[in-house]
Amino acid sequence: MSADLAGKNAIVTGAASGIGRAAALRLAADGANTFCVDRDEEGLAQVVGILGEGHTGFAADLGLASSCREVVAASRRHWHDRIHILVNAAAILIREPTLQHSRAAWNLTLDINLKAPFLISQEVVATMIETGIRGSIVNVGSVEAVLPGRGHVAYTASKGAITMLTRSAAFEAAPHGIRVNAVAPGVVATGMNADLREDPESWSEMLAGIPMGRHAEPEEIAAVIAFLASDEPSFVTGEILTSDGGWTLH
Amino acid sequence: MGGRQVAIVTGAGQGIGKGIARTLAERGYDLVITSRTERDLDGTRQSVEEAGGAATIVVADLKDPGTASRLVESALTRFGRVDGLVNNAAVNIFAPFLDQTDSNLDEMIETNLTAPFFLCQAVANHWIEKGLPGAIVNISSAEDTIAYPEQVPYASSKGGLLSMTKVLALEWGPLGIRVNAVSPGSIDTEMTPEVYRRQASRLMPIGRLGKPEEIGSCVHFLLSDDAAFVTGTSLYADGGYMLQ
Ligand SMILES: NC(=O)c1ccc[n+]([C@@H]2O[C@H](COP(=O)([O-])OP(=O)(O)OC[C@H]3O[C@@H](n4cnc5c(N)ncnc54)[C@H](O)[C@@H]3O)[C@@H](O)[C@H]2O)c1
Repeated sequence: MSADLAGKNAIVTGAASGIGRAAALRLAADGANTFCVDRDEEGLAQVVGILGEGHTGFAADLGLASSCREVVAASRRHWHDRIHILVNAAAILIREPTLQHSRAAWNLTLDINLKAPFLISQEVVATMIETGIRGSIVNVGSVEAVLPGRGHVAYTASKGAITMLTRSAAFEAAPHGIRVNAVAPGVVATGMNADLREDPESWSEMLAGIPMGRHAEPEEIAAVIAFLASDEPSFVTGEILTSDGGWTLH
Repeated sequence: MGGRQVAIVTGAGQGIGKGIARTLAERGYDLVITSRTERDLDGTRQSVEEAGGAATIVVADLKDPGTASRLVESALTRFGRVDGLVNNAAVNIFAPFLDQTDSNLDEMIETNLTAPFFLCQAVANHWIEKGLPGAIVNISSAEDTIAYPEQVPYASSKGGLLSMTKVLALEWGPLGIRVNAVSPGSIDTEMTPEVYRRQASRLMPIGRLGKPEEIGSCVHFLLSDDAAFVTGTSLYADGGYMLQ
């Protein structure tokens, strides 16, 4: 069964691909209007085409603080300040060994993966408080907040930080009835690991380490996002909901 | 899937268990409800029926070794299937550690940990034998992670339940049987001391206690296909209590 999101307005970042795309489609299927954000204009146009009427695409590079502010300003204009849901799914992963990890890779990763969710959440929470909307924010973290991946230290650090961004924002937003949670996915087949899947042997080796014996489809993570975004978990805030097929159990 | 699904809910006569039964009934489940007192279960059955579900009552003590298989058999006899198990029943006897007795300890460990253990075994035996998928939700507590005074046996039982949840998820992951926990914080039930209610606006970030139905919606999610990739996890539903 789908949660009822009829009439809710939802901003989804990273909506052109993978988990963000699946989240936009799922929230829309559950009745929400979406404001889809991505820097990939082609992918964005494609998703908005599928979504159809009542849904909007907004091209922006979230690596820039000014763009993050524009995203919220534009969605406020679009919806007359009424924002109910924010899904922060946009992220990048740069593979460079820790000792050689460049300053450029470090900065860019933290700008997109951590600062953007921070800046956008800040303005969205302020907007919700202003309008008295008891909204819901869902960040996309990662099990890498707990178990490090190899060779992409900035990404791993950014996801560790998402855990505590989620928890501290949740704590401060709670008195206003605004909930902030995160989903922590394990392995999901998306653009982020398209390169890894080109080596089927090591890919299936990784899948063999997952108790469920498979990776997730983006739609399965989107289903968790839809639950957290809805009013269903009305007593859940500051929670990091792991969705990894049991991967991090051992 | 077709038709209504079926879940077993223990400790369903009152409080959170009653709320879970009601919520599941609203969302298309028929139920096997169990507790030690028949009178309480009548109220739950009525609530389930009002929500459009059917309920079978099993009056039993979960500490009895035969109860687990009785519950699974009841589901199969009445409804012909069982899709989910919700281990909710628990007891909490408060006392300073040095005053906790043998019998207190037995009561809590047997009800809160041993009974779920054998119920998981009974229901999974059925699923594995028939090659069926299934989902289990164990109702743990925020106390599986954070400490409160004078509740050593209770906290230990919940810590054990959380560990059991993880190991079973690992063992049964390949079989399509998912095992998760919901760990509630302070929920407003018949047993909630009045002072908790009075202090809630100050002690809870959300400013209030939770409602049994708010645990029900979390249980429903974890039983559903929306949680198809979620296993071995505990979903904390505590109104932000653990953030402070
Ligand atoms: N795929 C996995 O296995 C996995 C596991 C755990 C967590 N995650 C998380 O899921 C989220 C979604 O990732 P995905 O797997 O769907 O990857 P993806 O690469 O398919 O999608 C990411 C999207 O973010 C967009 N994006 C990146 N930088 C941007 C920027 N500066 N401005 C605007 N948009 C930008 C991309 O264009 C892309 O559309 C990320 O937060 C990722 O960290 C993924």
